[in-house]
Amino acid sequence: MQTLLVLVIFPGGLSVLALGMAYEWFDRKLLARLQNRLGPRWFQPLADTIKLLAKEEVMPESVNPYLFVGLPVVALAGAMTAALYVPLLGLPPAYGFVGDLIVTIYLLCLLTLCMGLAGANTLDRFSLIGATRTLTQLFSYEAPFLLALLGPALVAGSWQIGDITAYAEQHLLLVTQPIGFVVAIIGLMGKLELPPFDAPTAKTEIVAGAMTEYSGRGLALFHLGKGVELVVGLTLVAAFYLGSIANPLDFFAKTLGLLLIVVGVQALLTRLRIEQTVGLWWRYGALLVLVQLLVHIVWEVAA
Amino acid sequence: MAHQPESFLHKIADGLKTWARINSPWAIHFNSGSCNGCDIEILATLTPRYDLERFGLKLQGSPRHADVLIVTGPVTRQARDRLVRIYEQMPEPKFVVAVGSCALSGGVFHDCYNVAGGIDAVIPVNAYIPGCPPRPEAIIDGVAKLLGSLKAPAPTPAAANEQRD
Amino acid sequence: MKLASMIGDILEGLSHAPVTERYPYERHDTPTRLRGKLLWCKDACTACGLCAKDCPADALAVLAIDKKAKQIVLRYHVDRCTFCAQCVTNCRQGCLTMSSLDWELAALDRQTFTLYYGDETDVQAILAGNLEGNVP
Repeated sequence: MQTLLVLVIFPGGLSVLALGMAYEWFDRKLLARLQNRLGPRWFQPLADTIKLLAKEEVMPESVNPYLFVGLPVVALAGAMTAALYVPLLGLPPAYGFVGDLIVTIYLLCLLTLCMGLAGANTLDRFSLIGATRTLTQLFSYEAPFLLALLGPALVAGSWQIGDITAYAEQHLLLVTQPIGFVVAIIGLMGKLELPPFDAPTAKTEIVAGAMTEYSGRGLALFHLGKGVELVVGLTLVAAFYLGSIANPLDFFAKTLGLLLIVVGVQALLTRLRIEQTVGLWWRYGALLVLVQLLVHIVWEVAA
Repeated sequence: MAHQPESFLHKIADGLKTWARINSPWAIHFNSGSCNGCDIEILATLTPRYDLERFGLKLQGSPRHADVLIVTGPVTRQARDRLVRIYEQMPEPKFVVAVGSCALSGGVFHDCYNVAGGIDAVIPVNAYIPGCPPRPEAIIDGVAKLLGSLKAPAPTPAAANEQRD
Repeated sequence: MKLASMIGDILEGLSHAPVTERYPYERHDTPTRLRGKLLWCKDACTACGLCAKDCPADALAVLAIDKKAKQIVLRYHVDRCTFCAQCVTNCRQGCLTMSSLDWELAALDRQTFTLYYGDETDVQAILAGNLEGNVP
């Protein structure tokens, strides 16, 4: 009974969806205020989701119907499962185990993989290009992002998120691994497909990218999945680099502070072309994070 | 008596759906041969000064994501099939807003050979916004009237003979 | 990246209120020369028809039952009007003006866009089929 409550109501399930919608609102509102305009009202993501759920779902003729209906569900399920292993709201992770860092990162990738597959499913040329770009971007930022999250794991000496956050509580990794922090933040923006890394969903270039053919329920589930991914990603980076999360107030302060940085970069920079994105990541991103790991290894050996 | 609880639930569900549709109209814009004056005014409505996003209106790229189709221009011969195709690709419930005097009746081109004469010769239109081009506030007024009409589904009888002095 | 030097401008956006005009809830004054809906004053009209002849969109039609007795009806198609004010410029008697207050003309159906200006009895007579003068 208690398991059911944890999984469905709090802190998994409905409350993670609600947190995702709240963070999406905060992101849009802050972006609007930085651009000198009013921005959406507080219930906007909720109204968007309900409206999408009430819309007619149009299935194109040449898709695999099981994939078409199932991919959004799998994407949202992956994102929500990842939320079980991170310290949401300052509470210890609900079902931690050794190696759950890798599992969490894999589950967050699952969302992007499902979007790429959904785009490749149809015959629409825009979806196909969107799918190609999504998967190319996944391929490019994933290695540096994983290595940036590996830095704290190395110093803590464990693959379990619970242990890493316990270590981060004593040592402020923002100060000892600053390069890793920068790569982690920018990697998060790549994962969430926020500008300047939003080439996969470039509205003026490829209509809507991988999600062009989706409407109604499928789009609502992808939309919710992206919101949950935002929360989980921010929690991970905040828990590792900003000192662990002690209580709900601390959680909101640290994750919203990170969101401030993310939105600031979002408002500032324009969209990068897909080959510029890949070039940036494989040249500077990977190099920087390898330098960080090298510094740590040399320091460990010398000490 | 057995119907009562069912219709109450339906009423709540319908109320929720209507509320969500009024507060989150996602739009797509199409130019069917206009001079771009109305398009510029529509884009001006999305800028920070008039900011349509505070009503929940976001400009989408794909017709499949949109509820409202904002059309400008008299429908030229080449644009006619494309306009019908985009309209048919939008999922229900969908609404069409015709902006500018060319979109309403063809405007100055109303008797040209290559023009269909207004959007409603091609697809059904829900709101008309006259002007050449209409002010951004007039566009917001038209969108607000369309969203207000969603609350009261009963149509008002058209007054064929209205006098103003 | 040169764009990144604009960070000061972006953060300045947080330091003051947004510049949005909250249109339906607050209305600001319109410019006095704004060209809104056409208004017609029958007293000086001689039914010469210059306005109808000059309109680029054929939005005006002068339907006169009796010119001497001033039984004139002006039919105005708001949905065709380009708001160019050529009719206002060319009217010799100065009986046409463009309102600067009535510009919220959006409607949900097209019937409301065909307006007949004139006395009630004349308009009813025109509508009943008793047409004379410039017929479209």
